[in-house]
Amino acid sequence: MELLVNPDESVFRAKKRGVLDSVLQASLEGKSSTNNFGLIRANQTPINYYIYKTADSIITQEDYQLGFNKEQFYIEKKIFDWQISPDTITIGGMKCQQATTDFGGRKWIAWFAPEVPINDGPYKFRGLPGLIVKVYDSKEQWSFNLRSLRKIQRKVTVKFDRNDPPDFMQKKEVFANKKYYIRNRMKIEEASGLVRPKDEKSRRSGLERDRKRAEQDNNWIELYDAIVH
Amino acid sequence: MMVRLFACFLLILFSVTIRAQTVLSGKVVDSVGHGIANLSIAYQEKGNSIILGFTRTGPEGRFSLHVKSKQDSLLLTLSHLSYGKKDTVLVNKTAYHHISMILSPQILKEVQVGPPPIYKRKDTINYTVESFTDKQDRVIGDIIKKLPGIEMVGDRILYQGKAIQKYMVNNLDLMGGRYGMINKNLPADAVKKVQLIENDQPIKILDSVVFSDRASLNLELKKYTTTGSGELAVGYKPVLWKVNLTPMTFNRTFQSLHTFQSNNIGLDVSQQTQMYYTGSNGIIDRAENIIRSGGSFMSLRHVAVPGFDQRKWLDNRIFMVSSNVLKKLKDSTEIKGNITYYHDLQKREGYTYSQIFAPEQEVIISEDIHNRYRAHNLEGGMALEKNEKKIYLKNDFRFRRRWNDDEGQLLFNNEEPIQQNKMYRDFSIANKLSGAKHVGKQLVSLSSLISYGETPQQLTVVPGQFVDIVNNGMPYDRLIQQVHIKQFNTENAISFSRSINGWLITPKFEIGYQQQQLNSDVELAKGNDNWILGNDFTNDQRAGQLKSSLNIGLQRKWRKWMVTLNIPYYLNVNDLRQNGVRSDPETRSFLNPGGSVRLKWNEYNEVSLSGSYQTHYSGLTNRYAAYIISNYRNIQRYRPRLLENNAWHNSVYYRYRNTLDAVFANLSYAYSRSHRDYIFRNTIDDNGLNTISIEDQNSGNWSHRWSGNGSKLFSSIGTTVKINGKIGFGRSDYLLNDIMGQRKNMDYGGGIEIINSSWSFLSVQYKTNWGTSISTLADNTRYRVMTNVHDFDVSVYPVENHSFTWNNAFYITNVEAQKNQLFMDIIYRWTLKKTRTDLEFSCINLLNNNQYIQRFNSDYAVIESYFDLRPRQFLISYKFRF
Repeated sequence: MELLVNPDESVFRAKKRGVLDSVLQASLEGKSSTNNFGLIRANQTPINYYIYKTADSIITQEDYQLGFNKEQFYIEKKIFDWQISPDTITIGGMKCQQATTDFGGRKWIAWFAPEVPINDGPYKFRGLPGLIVKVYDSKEQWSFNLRSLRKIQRKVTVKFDRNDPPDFMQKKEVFANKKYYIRNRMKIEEASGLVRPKDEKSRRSGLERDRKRAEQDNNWIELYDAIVH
Repeated sequence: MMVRLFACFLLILFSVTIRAQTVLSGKVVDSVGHGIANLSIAYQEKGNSIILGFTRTGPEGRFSLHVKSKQDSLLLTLSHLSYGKKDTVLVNKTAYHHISMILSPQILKEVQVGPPPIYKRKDTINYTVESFTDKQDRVIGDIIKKLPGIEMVGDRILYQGKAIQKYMVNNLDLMGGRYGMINKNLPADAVKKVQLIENDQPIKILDSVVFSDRASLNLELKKYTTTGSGELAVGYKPVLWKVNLTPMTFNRTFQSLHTFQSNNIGLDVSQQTQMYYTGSNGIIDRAENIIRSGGSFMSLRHVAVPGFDQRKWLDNRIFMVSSNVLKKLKDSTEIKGNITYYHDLQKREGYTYSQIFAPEQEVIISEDIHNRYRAHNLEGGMALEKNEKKIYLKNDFRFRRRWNDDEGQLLFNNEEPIQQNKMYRDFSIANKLSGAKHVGKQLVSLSSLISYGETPQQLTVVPGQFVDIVNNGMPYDRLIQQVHIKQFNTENAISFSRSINGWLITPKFEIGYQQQQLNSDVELAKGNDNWILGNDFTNDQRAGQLKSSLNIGLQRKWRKWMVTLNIPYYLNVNDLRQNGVRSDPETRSFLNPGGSVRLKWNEYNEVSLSGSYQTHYSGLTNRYAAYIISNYRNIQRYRPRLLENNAWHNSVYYRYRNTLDAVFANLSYAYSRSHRDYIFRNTIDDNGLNTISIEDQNSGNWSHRWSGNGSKLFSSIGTTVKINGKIGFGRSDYLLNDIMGQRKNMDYGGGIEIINSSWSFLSVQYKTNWGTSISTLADNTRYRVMTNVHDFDVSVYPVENHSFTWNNAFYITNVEAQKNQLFMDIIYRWTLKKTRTDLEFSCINLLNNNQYIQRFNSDYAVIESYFDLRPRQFLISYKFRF
């Protein structure tokens, strides 16, 4: 995952997703050959969300469906209520202090580095006086750790355009849609004509696979029940 | 926007009126007076670096900060990515401040954070090798033994108290269970991380069909590479040498390991060829240990070896070569081949003093023992494996040939010299084919094993013993015991697995045939005469067993639970031909049910329960009716009848694992009870000659055992702490000189290990283990043996590339004659960074201890043994890497 920060905004996304986007952008602009299949295949990733943070909003883009223009956006005006604690540790030579917050049905423990003047962090987390270097939930099911901090100068293309914002949906709605999609992926894709099962047998095994996947995919960063109910 | 600002102000007002605390408010502006938004403002007390509170500026650059501190002045830190940081000291009083900051693009310090020492991703626990590496460590085994959650018993690796099922490098299993060779020779700095995959199903077609509760280990290398270790060493005294050349290659589709090792410094490198995988009782057993050697029926009288580090006592001369290759073909088929040869000569000398408590008498024997063991071993095999989601196919072929010639000179009760010579030859060959494929909705698995072996052996004792039994009390010169075994075995199985309502149901049919031909005779000689003893000492036996079984296996996993149940029904037909006379076949049928339940109730805790009841009939090797002399004062025979054993095993296992805090712990309890329809009748005469035979009398034994392990890494102080403890007690029946008795035994012990590497100039390791075992015999004689070992190793790095290591081992026992012994080794190492080589000078056994006394209990005897140790030795070695 990468967190790209400039003074006004930031993007948090899968690194591979970033590579893919640049490749697609380059071919759209006609700067590269259209045959980037190998590169595209090498950069497939199951992590399909983007987080754009602006001064007052957190915008999340989810694109889990096949096909084009399937992105769903929702916007949150979330201000994290961090409780600072006096505990400190050193991570990568930086002195870090602990803070905790409740978010998405979980209790999160964060370590931030006051010496790095970036009020940002992984996923949607931000709002501490220093970069969030490590953040994890109290059950240790999700954990984000800083691997490296580098200065880069590069143009990054994202699908979210501030000047021409997309249609925002309700967060609940996006969550419910995603859940519905995971459970019924096969049927939805069949209905949209993107996928056609070979025969009844493979269709049935596809349905079974969806059921299993939905059963296993039950531990989202923000708990479904905490958001939808 | 207006509405929001208004709300913001309101909030401030409320707080001011409700709580009488300091509120610092104000506006932060840039050089032209525009408010700076999204700037963070944190405050701390002067002289304390901990942030107590913070806020952020609003869109207009306004802020308000509630201060809980009672100090007079506060340090306010303002920071923004574009404006940098600014510290201002303010009086702790509610006031309005106007602060300005200048745009100054920030140059951030670039940071590289290593991965945490331990982290978990799905079922994989990753140990970052770098975090556990000390300057002294060279090979990956040095690291693995230190990891929290992992223990090493000898060279076998255990995770949370259970043996690992697979050892891989870059996800390929080159050695097939003989992983000691990699573990002892792969340079640690070639490895990026050690991964432990919990609940790993190594057979892909069974993945998410058959659940596994065993763990596999994988080493992820930094890159595909050729590496390996090498060492050349010479020493004194006597003339010592050590050679180790072990290059290895790990590529994407090709891996190899070749080794040449030879030494006489007390390292038994042949242990690296040991197979550590144990078979699984699942649907498919992929373990490669398919060879079974014919047993050894005779032995020299041994002297018990000390239970500590081999290098302090093993007098050896070994030479070993081994070649192992693995190639992964395009269609993902793996081909593996390996061949190993070693020649080993070992000398063991010592003195044994045995007190045997026979009813109504106590027999005391002393033996001065000088033994030489010479072994040649040639072993090899080839495996072909296709392990895919849709198909599993594996063929293993292995062979082994052994030539052992042992010689023993013994002085009995300080007066009678006895010479023993043992010859043992063994040849075995085996092939196993197994496979699995989905047929319709079923998973069909097949396996077929076929093996053949021949094992001739001979024991010569001069002068002849057992004169009363074998020669009517007349002395004679020489006794020669010959045994020749041939065995053939085939096992075939087919199973069909199918999932019904969440249950995986696997009926399995098995059919096999085993046959063993045993011939033995005893030849006596006096002068030029020699003669063969009669029927009581001559076996000509062919035992066969047709084995068939039907097992219904059930498995279910839902949410936190996993249940397995196996109900095998066996029908065995045994036939026996003795001295050309064939007895009627005997049929035995029995059920051996077993099952387990596992509850993983959250991320950290897991508990499992298992139980089984097993009936077992003695194997083919112990149905001989004529005596076989197993050593110069032991003679043994069985009965041709089938001996029945029934055993009941129950166990509970609990495990705790928290990778974030690096805490690992496990506890286990086991209860077993067994019943036999026979008992060994032991008769010991005044000279200590022991006759063992079978008596038709019921007997039994039972035991309770508890054990536990725990480990934690304290990463802030670079220290790993491991603890272990055990306690067990039980009873067993014995029959000695016609009197039945019950032996009570109890043992308990514990240990602690502390590994510290927090300082750059020093590393310290301390380990202690203590144990006590108590046996009480029928007449209430009670023996208690206590041992306690302390290991304390210190390495100092005074200047870069130079190190001194000081190893101390302190052995304490409660044997009266033994004074507690301290062993000391000193090693100086000079590391040449450029060539990545080490020059080492070591002095082993600095205090020149030359004998070790130990005492232990056998069934009804206390044996004290004196073992000659290796004297003080010096060694210079040159270590390098490939």
